[in-house]
Amino acid sequence: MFISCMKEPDYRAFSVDLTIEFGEEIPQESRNGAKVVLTNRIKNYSTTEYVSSDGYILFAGIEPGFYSVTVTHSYTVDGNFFYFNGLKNIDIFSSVVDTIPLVKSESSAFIIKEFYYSGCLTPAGNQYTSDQYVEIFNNTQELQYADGISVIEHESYALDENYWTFLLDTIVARMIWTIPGDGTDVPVLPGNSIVIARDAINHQDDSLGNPLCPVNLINADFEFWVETVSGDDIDGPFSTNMIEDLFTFRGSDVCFHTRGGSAIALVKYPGNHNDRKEFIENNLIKKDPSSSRYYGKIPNEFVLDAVEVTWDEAHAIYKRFPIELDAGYTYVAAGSRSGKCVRRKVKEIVDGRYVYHDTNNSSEDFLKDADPKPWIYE
Amino acid sequence: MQNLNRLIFTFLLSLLLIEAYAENRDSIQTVSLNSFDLVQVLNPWLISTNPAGLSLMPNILPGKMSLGYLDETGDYKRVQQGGNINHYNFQTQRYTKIKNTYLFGSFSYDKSFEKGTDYTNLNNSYRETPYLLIDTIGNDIIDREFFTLKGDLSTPIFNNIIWGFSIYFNVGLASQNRDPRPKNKVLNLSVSQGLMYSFSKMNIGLNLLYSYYNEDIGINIVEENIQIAFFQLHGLGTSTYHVASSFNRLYKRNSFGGEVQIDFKSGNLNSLTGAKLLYIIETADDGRKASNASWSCVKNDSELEGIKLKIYNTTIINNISSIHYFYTDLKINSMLGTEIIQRLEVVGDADAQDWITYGREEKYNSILIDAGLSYNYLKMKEEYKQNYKFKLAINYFDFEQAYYIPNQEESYKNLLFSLGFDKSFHLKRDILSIGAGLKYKKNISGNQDFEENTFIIDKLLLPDFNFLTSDFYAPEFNISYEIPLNKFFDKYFFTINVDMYQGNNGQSRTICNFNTGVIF
Repeated sequence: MFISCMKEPDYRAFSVDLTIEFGEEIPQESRNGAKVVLTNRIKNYSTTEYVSSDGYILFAGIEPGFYSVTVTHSYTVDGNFFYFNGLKNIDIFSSVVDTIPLVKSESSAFIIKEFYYSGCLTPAGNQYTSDQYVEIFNNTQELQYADGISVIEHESYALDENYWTFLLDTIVARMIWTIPGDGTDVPVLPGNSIVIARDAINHQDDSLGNPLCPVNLINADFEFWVETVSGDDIDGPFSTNMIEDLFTFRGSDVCFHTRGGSAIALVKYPGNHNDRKEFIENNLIKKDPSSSRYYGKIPNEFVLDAVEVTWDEAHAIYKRFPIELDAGYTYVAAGSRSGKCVRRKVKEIVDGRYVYHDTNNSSEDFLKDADPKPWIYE
Repeated sequence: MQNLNRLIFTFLLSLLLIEAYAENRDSIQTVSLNSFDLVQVLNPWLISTNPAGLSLMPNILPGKMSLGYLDETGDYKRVQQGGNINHYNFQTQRYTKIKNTYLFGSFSYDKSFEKGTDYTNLNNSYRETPYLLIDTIGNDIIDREFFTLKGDLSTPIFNNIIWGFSIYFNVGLASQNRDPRPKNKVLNLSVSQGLMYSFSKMNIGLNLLYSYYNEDIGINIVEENIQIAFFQLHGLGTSTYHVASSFNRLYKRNSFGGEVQIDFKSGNLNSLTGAKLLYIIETADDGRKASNASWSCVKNDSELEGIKLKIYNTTIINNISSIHYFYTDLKINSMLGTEIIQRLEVVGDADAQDWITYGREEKYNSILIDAGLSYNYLKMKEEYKQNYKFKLAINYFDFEQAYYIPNQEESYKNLLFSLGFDKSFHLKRDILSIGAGLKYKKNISGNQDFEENTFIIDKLLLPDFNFLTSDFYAPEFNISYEIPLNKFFDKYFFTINVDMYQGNNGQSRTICNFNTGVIF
């Protein structure tokens, strides 16, 4: 017994030999550099390697356990981006040889460029959240129309496990707000964006604002305005109000979770305004049968872009969006009231037009603790 | 708990009876606060774990009953410690002799509130195990209520052979006030029996040791429909986690071992050397009451084995009017941690679920070397009456721990210097004692090498390492006053101790301790 405790641990390590199946869709010359992440599913760490064009990758010295392998790969052809993801669970209790097929991931024309939800502090030290906003960016080289696109907030605040995992290929929202228009009313130029503000005012100068606020949203394109009898919500003079399609916890104003509970997505319902309304109406669901609160079911195929915003690393395990929508997560590490936001990383600049990362993996695509800079591309 | 109350009551009654009997003695010297330190100097066997050594007590058998209050405040602390601790304590203890049998009994009741604790669901997160259970929702208050009973007995059984028995029983409840709310039921039981053989100028002793530690943690979330992540740490930033609305963990630690002693006494010289060896095995098992798992469906998380070796020597030169007291020891603790990899799977035809073991992996080890050397000089006013005391000590502390795959290592070495002086003023019948001291910790080296970074490293290991490798100095002051009493008790006393820790990182912590009671 004495000897057993004084000795070095007798631990085991194995090799994991993987082959990435690129399929015929990915040309041979575009196969280099696929990112393979081997994640220990019961522990909080992962190992990353990059695959050469032959598709083989070897992880050596892997401890025994239950793992997942995620593969993300992207390439461009003639300015068009193509994204592929792969996912497989493997148990490693001896050396493993396996293959991971890649599935094409659809990239959206519109992406969420910035999400500012943390709020800031007033000179008196009070919380100020009226300056929250979502910025939507046209990540293509063509003119796109934003009207009819909905901004949704997932039902879960990532405080516990996603309740809705029994719904296949579906996410559930507590809030659905839609940009008004008939399909060609809100053009967005390539490399340009629109801002949807909680309150479209000059937060830095307005009497209802906060001089310490990092943004001026007087020129926000759209605004989450909640029509109430009391008229408590500020109605910005220059912005167009979003259409309220669903607001389960309806209050006097839209407010995103300042600590990072709000996972949001851009959704495009098929059809026109009435079709969307009808679809939402027919796809409501209750969490508790005795409750009067309804949430909106949204098929994954309607989702253009999703950002798994969460509180911190510890809460990241409460994943809400499936891997095909967002394989990762992001958050403002500086925390609530920090005046910081999450912003998408710049991938490249093509003829002066900014192109942002969109691998459907927020861990890869987003910067944490960025200064809010709506309409500024950097 | 009813059985516990009955046991405590019985023990208290026994103590009172012993004390009532001892009141009739006529050979006992008048005692003072210094007597409790003095008996340890005059009978070095008290620092051993052999209860048979109690028979070598000097002609002074003090008893004490006291109430205490301790306040500990400041940011110079480890991460999982609270920023503020309020501790209330009632304690009674007594050495006594009935015919040829020596007895020692003590009882204490401790109530404390530790405020501002983070990342812990344990009663004590620094209990020499890397297998901790934490959540990430902090700023808790830990409310603790503990009872401790201790009894030693030593009696001759043959010529020159003395038999001794001791029992230590500590039980209590620690609970937190915010979701998730752990309730930790803690039981700590130690028993020992030993023999001492005396011949010529030598005493030789041997005793066996057994102890059992049990911490049963039940965690609930009061708010409905909320689940949170419980992280089961495996050492140096590694962890597994489970998401649940409740959680249970059970620690069971068994320790077996023994100690040998040899004591040489000649003239005014008394030198005792001892060696203790303990084997420790601790298991951590988990259960959940939520969804598809329950406490009856136990998941084995980990196993910790360890060896603790302690070698010590105490040498006393007693010139009656002055005493030189040397103490040196070396402790080596080696721990080996094994993770148990399991997965909940359906077993059998009835869709029953159980945790299936896929592997037992030795992943963690640590080694602690703690060596100390101290010298005390006691100048006596008369026998058993201290005039002043001077203390000088140095401690060397070396700790290394490692985790394998991902490879994580941490080590540090510290030196601690202590200096103290205590002077008693005998004011007619009253005694005023004033003391002061200084502790200085100097970090010699520190190293962290992490292959993987996790939030546990950022939130726990790095700040803890900064604390452990920081230098500090801590002046301490104490004052006590004793007033003789004519009936029932010998003296009334009160003491005030203040320790002020000042780290070189700008953080500080102050510990104030007030005690009052009677000596008999």
